[in-house]
Amino acid sequence: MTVISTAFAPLARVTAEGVGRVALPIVVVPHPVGDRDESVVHGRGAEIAALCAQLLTTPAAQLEREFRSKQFPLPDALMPR
Amino acid sequence: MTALQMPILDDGDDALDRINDYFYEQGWTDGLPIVPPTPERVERMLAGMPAHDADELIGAVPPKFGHATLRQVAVNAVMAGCKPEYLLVVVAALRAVMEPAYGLEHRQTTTHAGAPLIIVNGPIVQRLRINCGTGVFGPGWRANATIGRALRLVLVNIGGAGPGVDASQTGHPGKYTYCIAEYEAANPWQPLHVERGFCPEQDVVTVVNAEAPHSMTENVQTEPLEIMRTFASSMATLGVNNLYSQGHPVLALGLEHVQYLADGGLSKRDVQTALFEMARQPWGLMKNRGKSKGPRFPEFVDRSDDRSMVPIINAPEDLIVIVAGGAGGKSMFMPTAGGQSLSVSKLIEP
Repeated sequence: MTVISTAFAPLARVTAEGVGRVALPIVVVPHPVGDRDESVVHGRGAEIAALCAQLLTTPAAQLEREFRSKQFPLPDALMPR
Repeated sequence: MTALQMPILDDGDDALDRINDYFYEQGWTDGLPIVPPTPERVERMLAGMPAHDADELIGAVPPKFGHATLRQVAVNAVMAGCKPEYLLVVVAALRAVMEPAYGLEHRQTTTHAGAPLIIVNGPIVQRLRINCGTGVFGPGWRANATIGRALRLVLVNIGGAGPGVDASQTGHPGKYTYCIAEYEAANPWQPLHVERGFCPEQDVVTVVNAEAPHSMTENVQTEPLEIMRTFASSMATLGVNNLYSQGHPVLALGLEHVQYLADGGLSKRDVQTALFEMARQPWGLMKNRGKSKGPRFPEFVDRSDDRSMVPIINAPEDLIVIVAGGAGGKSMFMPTAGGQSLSVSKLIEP
């Protein structure tokens, strides 16, 4: 499982595909995380803690069905090509 | 790891627009039209490195870890408009950015606005007519335009760092192409590759992930110390990453400035040392601003003393000093991301 901020969600998908893990469970948190106060980072963690626990205790086959084709929101201000 | 299978299309008489539309839709371009990589063109490109097998693996390019074989690099070099004789420079630059010190994995995907600046040294500069003089960072020279573009296309098409995956907040124009040569004939000191241990007659690329060039004008002062004062003020600004995380920023000295400095008796190391000392900000002014303090932040900075001065480099030799450009009282400064991405020099091998 990978936790990533919105700016890097497409990167997480490409990297997962590159290493052969096309169904890697990816959890997205608001960007940015780096250079933010520890309290902000803790807050981001608290918001996704339950989801992470659920993903870590769900059978892999079930997660694969969900995440193989899951669409993630595009980063802010990314214009359509 | 997966191998990218770039299709090699046949372009008929009137198919250029259709091919370009298709490549653009697939995300295989930088937005500009490409030269269709027909089998014939790719074979001609590969002839630029006849001693190598087309299936030779240069490396797996992050973040997608696509396999950069010589053939795949040649496909992208064709698309960029390279001549076959440029291919070995593209390959050397790719090998350089794949060295761990460069940190390609994070350079491909960072929010920072850096691009791989390719600096070419050696006799190959004249042979390939890589511009090192007037308009060195600008358009007009095929080698500069297409070598840098070929590397960019490799990083996008094989590495997977297209729009969105490349999270650069603003990008910069050097992400289209960013290739220059050093003006060795105008350099009164050792050129960059010799400073780094290569022989003058060897051909070498140096890559550094650099921001866009920032012009530093000094048309009035001719005394070395005063020229350096202007440089230092321009280089150690409170928004520049190197103040917080040092690294290998680049100073491209213009012809007038380098002549004034040399005539004043300064060596290249004198210039580097002076700017190491002068291009600084007090810790008290920068400690709670800018960005987090990165790897290799200098240990000699006394963080208990607000007056302690913080440099943009950890040691004089970390400032890359080259000579480039035409006549005039301007030099260029190129900040970098900082200590997490360092410059790398590689021999250009036939």
